[in-house]
Amino acid sequence: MLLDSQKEKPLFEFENKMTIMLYSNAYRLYDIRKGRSNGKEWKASVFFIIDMAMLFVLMTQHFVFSSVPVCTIGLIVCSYMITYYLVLLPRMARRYGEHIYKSSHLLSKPEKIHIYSNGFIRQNAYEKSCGFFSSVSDCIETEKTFILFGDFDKKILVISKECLTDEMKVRLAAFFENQFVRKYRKVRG
Amino acid sequence: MQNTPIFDTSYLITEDDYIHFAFTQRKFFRKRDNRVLFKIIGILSVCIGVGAYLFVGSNIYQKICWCALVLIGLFLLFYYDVIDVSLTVAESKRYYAHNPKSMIAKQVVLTKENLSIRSEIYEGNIPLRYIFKIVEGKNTIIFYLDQINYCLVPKRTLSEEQTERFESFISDLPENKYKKL
Repeated sequence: MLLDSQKEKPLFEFENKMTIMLYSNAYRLYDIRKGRSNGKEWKASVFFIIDMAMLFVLMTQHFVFSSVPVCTIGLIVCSYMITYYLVLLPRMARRYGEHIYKSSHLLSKPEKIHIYSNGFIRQNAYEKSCGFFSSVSDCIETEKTFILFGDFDKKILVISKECLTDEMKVRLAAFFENQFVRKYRKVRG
Repeated sequence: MQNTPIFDTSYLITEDDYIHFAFTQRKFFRKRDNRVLFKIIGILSVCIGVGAYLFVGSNIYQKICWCALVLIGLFLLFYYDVIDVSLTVAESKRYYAHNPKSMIAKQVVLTKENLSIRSEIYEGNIPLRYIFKIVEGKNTIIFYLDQINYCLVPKRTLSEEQTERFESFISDLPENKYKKL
């Protein structure tokens, strides 16, 4: 196992420090890929189409809301649902991420990350865990971080770019891109 | 003795353990239990729906509305006892099947100062002051490291003596650190 056999020299080795902002943003992205926000765009689109249909019916009634109360209520509910999926849900996910970070004494501890050809090891003063790249479901690069999601300890690995040298950022991006291929993507934010 | 472990156990999480854990977790994070309210509204909806269907509804549209009211009533009436339970079991089974790396064998040692966890992918020696919360359910003990990361210990793996030691240990813990469900 990776924890026991560290004979292989790590390809990358660096200190990593996670801040509340980085973690909450990573958790928001995790929620989009794996949580309640998954598919928020198409869910919002369905409500948008219903909203437009309700608006069309109201138009035919010359916007006399009392003549078609069902459509009026439907219009309000669908508009709320669009706002919920596109605005409120991402905000709630970010806030929940902040909540998780605040509840943990260990996430804020500086950690050492070793990246091998088949996985990674993260280590701080109190814990040490490893994850295999075969368990990684998504690798996301943002302006400030590299984020891995998957079936490993803590489910999310956030690598802050501030802890990497310019050369290391480029090499690590190329390594992840090559390692994860379709699971790798760049996003803004 | 200060360093005598309260318990020292090795185990593999089974599907049943995970389902028990899911129920305990759901209970712990649920802010309000609206069981009684749901039942009252459910019974009222069913009674009103059936009564109106038999004595009031004259055209087909009205009858459809009363039927819908009865269905909503039945949904609310059985939500906590049947629907919520089935959903939790199904969700737990799905999670258990899809996350095999989280369900591997572990050795957990609890002392008065530390919680030590060891598995093939994780090694931790965490001071108890860094544990977010200890939650004891009917069949499981959960050590929350934060809101979403936890270490689950099934009670079936503890001997009677260890359970007694754990009971006496938790009685000394501050209220915000421990919760029994």
